[in-house]
Amino acid sequence: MQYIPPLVFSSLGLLDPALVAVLSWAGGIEHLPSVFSWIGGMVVMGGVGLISYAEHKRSQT
Amino acid sequence: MTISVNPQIDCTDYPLRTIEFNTKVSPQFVDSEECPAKALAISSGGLTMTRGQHEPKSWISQKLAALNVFQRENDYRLVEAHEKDIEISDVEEAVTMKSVEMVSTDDCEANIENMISADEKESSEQNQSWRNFLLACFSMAVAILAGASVPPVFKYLARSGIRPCLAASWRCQCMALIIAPLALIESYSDKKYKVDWFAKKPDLPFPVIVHVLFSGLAWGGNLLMWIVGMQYTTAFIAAIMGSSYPIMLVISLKLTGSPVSGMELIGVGISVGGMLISCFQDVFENNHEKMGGPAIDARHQFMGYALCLGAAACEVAILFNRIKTKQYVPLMQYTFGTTIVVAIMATLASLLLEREGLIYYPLVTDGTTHVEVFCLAQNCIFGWFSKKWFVTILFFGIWIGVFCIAGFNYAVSSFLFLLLIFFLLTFVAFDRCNIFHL
Repeated sequence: MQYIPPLVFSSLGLLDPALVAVLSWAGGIEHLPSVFSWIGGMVVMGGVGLISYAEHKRSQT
Repeated sequence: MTISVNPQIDCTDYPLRTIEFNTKVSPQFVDSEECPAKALAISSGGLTMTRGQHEPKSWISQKLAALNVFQRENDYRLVEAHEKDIEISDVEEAVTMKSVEMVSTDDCEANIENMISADEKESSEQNQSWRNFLLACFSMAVAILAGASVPPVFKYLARSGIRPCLAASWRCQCMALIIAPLALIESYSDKKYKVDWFAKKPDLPFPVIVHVLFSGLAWGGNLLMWIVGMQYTTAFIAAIMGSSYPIMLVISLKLTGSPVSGMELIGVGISVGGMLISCFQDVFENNHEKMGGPAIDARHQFMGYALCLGAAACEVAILFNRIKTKQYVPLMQYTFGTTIVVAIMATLASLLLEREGLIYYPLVTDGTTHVEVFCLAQNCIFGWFSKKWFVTILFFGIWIGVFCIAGFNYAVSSFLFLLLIFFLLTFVAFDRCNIFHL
């Protein structure tokens, strides 16, 4: 955390669901999610990213 | 020849700046009743210096020593090797400069030595900083990968017949064993890392240990709700729900009357909309079955979502508590304490709840009716010590427990990090060769 900006840190966390899907698929645990799930997931992560950005802005001021 | 600086001068209104010096002005130190930055500007003709944000406070004295040498020896080559521009923003630095008054220009030899060693130190610090940054990026990449591998591994364990709370117990037992020596090393590495567990701190309402226990309980709630909830939905949806704790954070801020910005509320609205899109499709098209799992009825799917959201709410409790305890309990000791609590919680939950007929697990079919304690089968509390599961759980414990935590926080030395990579790869190699399955 002391070397990487917090916003980058929290933004990269948004990749988590996509990585979970890919790892589950690669490990033969589950098939890849449908297009709808991806879209929904991206919208959720977009919202979470917006919240993280807003918090970052607030902590700066 | 000295620099005369009046520390009473308030430089706070003097904006941060890059001072361009006129190279034609002959370098001389002057007495100045004005801002010290200006005194330097006049005095250091022919030079441009920049004090970076992360430069030590001693930077000014080092540079002034260099200036003295510059003036005395007129050695342009030496001085040109230095930085550019100078920024002085507060009175504290002006005071630092005042101490430089004592630097004697007669002692040029010492100044040269100081300057050279300061330069070497500076250059080594810059290299170190780059190395740390790259290592931090690498650690974070590993940590993100380690964190993302948790849902598939738990799914794999469930499909292999391990009940979810029992799997959580195995993981935490293993993690605690791995983290215990790291916590010990941390504790004895420096006096400042010694924790006074029963001390009451001014900004904590309870003794430190109570806060760590509370964090453990919150983390236990988070892990158990999430891992059980994941039985009724896909790993992807569980990960989305689990990552939604910023939404819970905003909601909790709103409920406690703290100020919440419009952008945060819009973010919550967008996220909830995205969840509805994902869940709508998940429920009405029985996505779980399409994705290779068993068919799960809508009631259980909703229960799964509720549990995953509950897990995200627990994460907020962990976050708030960790912010408070962070300064009193270093990472590894904190992680060890909370892991022990979670291991106990998961063990009790498994023993009490994971009985046949009490909880419906669509994935787990191990043929046994309840969880036992002292045996090495896959329905036993210490079952991970069996030949069949030891390597897998150890891998899980090292990979998730250490790499994810240590990677995110970059709290271990690079040597330890490499050592852990070595152990990990060795165990994987052994596992591949079936050495533990003889």
